[in-house]
Amino acid sequence: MHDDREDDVRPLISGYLDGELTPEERDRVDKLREEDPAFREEFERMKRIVAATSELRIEEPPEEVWDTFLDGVYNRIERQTGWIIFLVGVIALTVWGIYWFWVADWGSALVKVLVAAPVIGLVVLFISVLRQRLFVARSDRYSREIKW
Amino acid sequence: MYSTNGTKDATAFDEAEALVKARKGDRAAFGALVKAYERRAYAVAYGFVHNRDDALELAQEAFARAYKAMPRFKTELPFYPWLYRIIKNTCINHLKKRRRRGETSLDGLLESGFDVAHAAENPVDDAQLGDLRTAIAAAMTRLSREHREILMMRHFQDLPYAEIAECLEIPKGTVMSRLHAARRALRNALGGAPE
Repeated sequence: MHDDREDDVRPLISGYLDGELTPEERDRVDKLREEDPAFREEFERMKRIVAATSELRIEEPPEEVWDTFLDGVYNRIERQTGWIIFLVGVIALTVWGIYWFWVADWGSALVKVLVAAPVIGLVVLFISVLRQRLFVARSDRYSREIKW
Repeated sequence: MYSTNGTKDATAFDEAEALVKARKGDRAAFGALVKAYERRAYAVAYGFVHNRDDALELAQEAFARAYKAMPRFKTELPFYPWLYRIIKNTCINHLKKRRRRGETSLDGLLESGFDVAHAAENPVDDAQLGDLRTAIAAAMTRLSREHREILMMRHFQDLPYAEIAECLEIPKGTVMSRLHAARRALRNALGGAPE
């Protein structure tokens, strides 16, 4: 078989075996099978590969798993909702706490700065780690997959 | 409606109606979608993580994410390709987390043991055929991620070319050529078998 034709015609073998070709394409494959021994050999090899691969099945879970599968999904939805409510609460409490930290009359400005320093340090560290993670995620070739 | 193996489901339901309702937050309608697609979701996840328990967990997680993302779903588009991408992303994120824990590279995780069950109902389930299946399962782990993915979609999920094209966002012609290339790569990985 001529090389220039191979790229064009050979994928039709897969389409033929999967029943995905138009009648005209099927006729083309049938004609080539009759006329071209190399193509016929390729066809037969691919047929065996397709037949053998079609025998494979993934490991199915026990049937009773499906009875509770939906409950598991609902549990996760509830957990996600719980986390969102929790985080909103934490953020609101933090903002409220920061506000009262500065407004309340419990110590001098110097004491307040000393108390705030470790907290601010932790926040800076957190932002730094977060930024690094985001940078890695952006430059990760697998991140291209994420597009809903 | 199709089951994991692509056969018509006896409990077919009005998917378009369920999608519209689920988009508005109707949990029962979303539950009907889950029941319709749970086995396919499991098969997709299994293809990535090669482990039954992880695949079940990730399929559930993907559905939970889909529920949250439902308001953004365009009901005029088919549901399964959208769900497929969510499952795929969920699995890849899971594998990335495992990589961050220092287990191994992401490619290594994707190419780890591919355990497939034999089709027990096959009457010609002799030792020779069993060996061949084992050889194919092993050979599949040596393929590129792209080739393995398309073979799994075609053979484990029994998806037609049109649906594979929608899931992978590629033309139907590319599905045929990529599938053919994957099968040739599989044949090479098998070292010429099965002849």
